[in-house]
Parts: sequence; structure tokens; C-alpha cells
Amino acid sequence: MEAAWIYLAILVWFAAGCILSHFARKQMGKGVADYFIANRRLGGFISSMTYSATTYSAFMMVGLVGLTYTAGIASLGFELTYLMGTGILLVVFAPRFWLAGRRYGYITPAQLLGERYESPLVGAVATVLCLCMLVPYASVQFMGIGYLVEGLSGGAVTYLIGTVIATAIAFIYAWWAGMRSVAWTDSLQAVVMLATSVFLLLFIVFTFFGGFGGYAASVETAIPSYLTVKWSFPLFLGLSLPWFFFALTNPQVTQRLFIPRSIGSMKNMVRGFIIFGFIYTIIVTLLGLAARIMVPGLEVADMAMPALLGKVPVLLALLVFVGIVAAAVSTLTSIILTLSSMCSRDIYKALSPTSSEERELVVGKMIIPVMAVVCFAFAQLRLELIAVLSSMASAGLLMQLPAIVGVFFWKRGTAAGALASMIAGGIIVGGMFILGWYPLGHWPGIWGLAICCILFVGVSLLTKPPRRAEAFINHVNEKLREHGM
Amino acid sequence: MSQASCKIAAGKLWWLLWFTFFVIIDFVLPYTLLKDVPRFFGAYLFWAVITSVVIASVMVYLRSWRDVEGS
Repeated sequence: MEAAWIYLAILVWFAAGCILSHFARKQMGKGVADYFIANRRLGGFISSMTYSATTYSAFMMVGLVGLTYTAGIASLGFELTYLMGTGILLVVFAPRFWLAGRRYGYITPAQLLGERYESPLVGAVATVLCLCMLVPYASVQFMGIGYLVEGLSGGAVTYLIGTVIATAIAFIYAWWAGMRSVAWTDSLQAVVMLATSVFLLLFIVFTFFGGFGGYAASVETAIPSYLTVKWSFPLFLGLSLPWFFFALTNPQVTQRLFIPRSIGSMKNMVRGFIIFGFIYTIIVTLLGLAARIMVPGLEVADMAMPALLGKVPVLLALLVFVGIVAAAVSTLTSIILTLSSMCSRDIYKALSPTSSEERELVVGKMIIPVMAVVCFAFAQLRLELIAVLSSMASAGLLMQLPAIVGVFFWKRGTAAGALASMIAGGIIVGGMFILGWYPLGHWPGIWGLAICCILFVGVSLLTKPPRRAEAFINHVNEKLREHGM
Repeated sequence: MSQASCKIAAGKLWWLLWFTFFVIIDFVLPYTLLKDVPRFFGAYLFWAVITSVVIASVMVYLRSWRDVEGS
């Protein structure tokens, strides 16, 4: 594909996003809550779309297609296990985050941890852990775009140029009007992601296989082993478990639990997301199997989607390309904005508690370009497969799980327990991934979670519980009953 | 505990068991009965169907959530 077409497609999509961003800015009020969580005033549709677009990234159309290309349907099981876990966790935790956020004015999930455990250090450590793990995850989005433009253009648009463009766009969307801008552009991007993937699947199935019957018959005869479960159980568990708890441990999605304007909006957010997720996952894995038949023999699995796009008309390839870029940028903007809010609220504000809200907001906005550049720089390292890097990030973030669950369900949980579990867990998981150490064949996230659960419970029992824990949990439980939850 | 609270707690326990059942079979069946079935109606269909059942269950669970005036 000619480079000019790629630039034109990005320009058109970027212009549409800018228009939305502009209108979002017109509605923007003043203050930190307005900038970082849209003043808790977003409706159900926008909330569900921003949740979907934040969750589903370039990993899906590049990474998951690549995983299916190499491993077959185990990747479907992995991704649907994640979706199932998210659905279950959302019905349990979404109302709790939402009610606590309204009552205590939380802006970030780390603030919730810090205030509930009555220790700003807990919030600061959670923020540092998220920074360490989400920078590689965000850089994965840049890598997705970089590989894609390079593959599609045959090298005419380089990896570097693709990632520079993505950095600039993500920065503008996030910085211009904060969460409102990100949520509105996410909504556009979610629709584009889903629509373009549907078009691509239908085109491929009907053009190259003669319909869904022909497609199923081709897969079953040409690549039957790809319909069996090829991953070992430890690998499946090691990849799936961190993702199962993604909805609780990734701050860019937990922060979105603060934004719906009502219970009705929150219900629609959950409904919209799980339906979106199911359709998108099925489509993506079917495309991965199609790629295995249509473009066999690729050395780099992440090139399966670019190779597949080489088989379809230019206009369709461009539309899908825009959909993938949209998926990557929407996740990027959300991560960058969330990390910036955490740095300003849970580190800057914790160190300087007397600073004004205006000052805090200025600091948060200044961190946005810094985050964008750091993620961009990390992406230039081009580390390993996209999927593995994403899973490492999820495994590291999983170390917050005991502390997060304890917030709502264990009055006896303490700041010392939360700190010990997050610090030790983060170091263990990071170290094991770097050293490539998988004792008994199990992945670092499994070992890290086991150790940090023991630490959280053990250290909490040895230390004094927070004074206001009971009042916090009682308030949330009372409100849950009031709302029929 | 009041009778109403007991009823709510029993309902929640039922939901917990229901969801736990699906999580367990999600991991177990594809690695036992369905591991080597080279057909779409093997592990592929199984994962798609049980995820659909969980999604439908979530929809039912959400029905009782309501906004409360002035809350």
C-alpha cells in the first residue's frame, strides 16, 4: 500500500477525533475531578464505549490475531476467560468503586487505596507499581501501530514515523480536554474498531471461503490442529489469571468505574462492554484462523494482520488500519491520562498536601506529555511479542489484587499488609520475568499472587487495622442494599 | 440478622456458586474432554457458549440495580 494512502487515512480519522475533542473541551468545567473523571457525569453509552476502547487495544487485531495464528483457539479461551472474569468482577466491584468514589470524592484508584488504608504511602506505591507495569503495556500500543504501518506500506512508512504520529495524536486527545475528550474520542474509536473488524471478517469469509460454512470446513480440513487446545495448562493459566483480574488491577479501567452519572448509566456501561467484548473477541480469533490458512509461514506472528490486509482491497485495508490505530490510540490516551492523574493526586498531592487544586491540575497536565514520550521511547526497544509484554504488565498489576479486594471485604487489612504485598509482589514478578524463571513451569504471576496474598494477610494480622475501615465498609454495604445491588 | 438480610445473603451465595461453577469448567473441560477435538464444536464452541451463559447471567444480575432518588 502506498504511504500517501496511510497518511491520508490517519489524517481523516485524526480530524474527526479533533472535532469531538473540541466539543468536549467546550463542555469542560474547572477542577481536577472535571478534567480527570469528567466530574462523574458520563452517560451509559459513552461510559461503555470508553471502557471497551480502553480495554481492547492494538493487542486484539495485532497481538491476538498473531496468537491465534501461532497457537490456535487457546487464544480464544484466554481472551474469553478474561471477558468472563471481567463480567463477574464488574457486577461485584463496579458499584462498590462507584459508591465509594461518590461518598469520598476519589479521583484515582490509588487514592482509594491510600485513603482506605489511611496511608498516602499505599497510594504512592500503587502508583509506582502501575507506572512500572503500564509503561511497557502502553508501549505495546505504539509497537502495534509501528509494526502495522511498516508492514502495510512495505517499509515506506517506518516504525519510527508510525510511533511518532501515534504519540502526537495520543497526547493531543488526552491533553486537550482530559477524560471528557478521551471518552468521546474513545466512543468514536470503539465504533470504528468494531465496524471495521466486522467488514473485514465478512469480506474474507465470503470472498475467500464462500461463506461461513466454507470457512468452517476449510479450517477443519486445512488446519485441524489449530482447533485443539495447543497451549500447556501452566501457560494458559499463567496468561489467563492476570487477565481474569484485569478489571480490578488496571487503573485505566478502574478509574472508569467512577465516571457514570447514575446506577442506570453504570448498568449500561457493563452491558455494553460485555456484549462489545464478546463480539470483538470472536471476530478477532476467526481472523487469526483465516490468516493461518491465507498467509502461512510468517516468521513474526504479529505480522499476520498486516499480511492479511495485503490480501484485501486497499480501501478495506485502510478502514481496518484506521480501526487498529484507533484501538491502540484509545488505550494509550486512557493510560496516559490515568497515570498522569495518579502522579499528580497520589504522588505530588501526597508530598505536598497543602497545594491548591489548580496547582495539582497544572502538574497533572504537565505529566501528560512526559508520559507520552516515555512510552514512545520504551516502544523503540521493540521487546519480544506484543502478547507476552502485555501479560507481564498484567501479572505485575495483579500484585495489587489482595489490597484492592481487602478495601471492600476485609476490615482487618492494613497499610503495612498492602505495602508488603505490592512491593514484594512487584519485585518478584518483575524479577522472574526478567530472569525468565518459571518454577515448576508456572508463570510469575501465579507465584507472585500466591506470595502477595500470604504477605497481605500475614502482615495485616500482625499490625494495627485502620480506624475508619469499619465505617467505610458499612457505608458501602448500606448503600449497596439501598440500590438493590 | 433480619430475615430480609438472610434472603439477600442466600441469593448472593447462590450467584457466587453459579459463577464459580462456570469459572472452574472454563479451565477444566478444555484441558480434559475437549483438548484434542479438532472441530469447531469442541473447545471453540464450549468457550463461546459458557461465556454467553455468563453474559446472560450478568444481565439478569443487573436487573435489580436501581437509582434511588436523593441518594
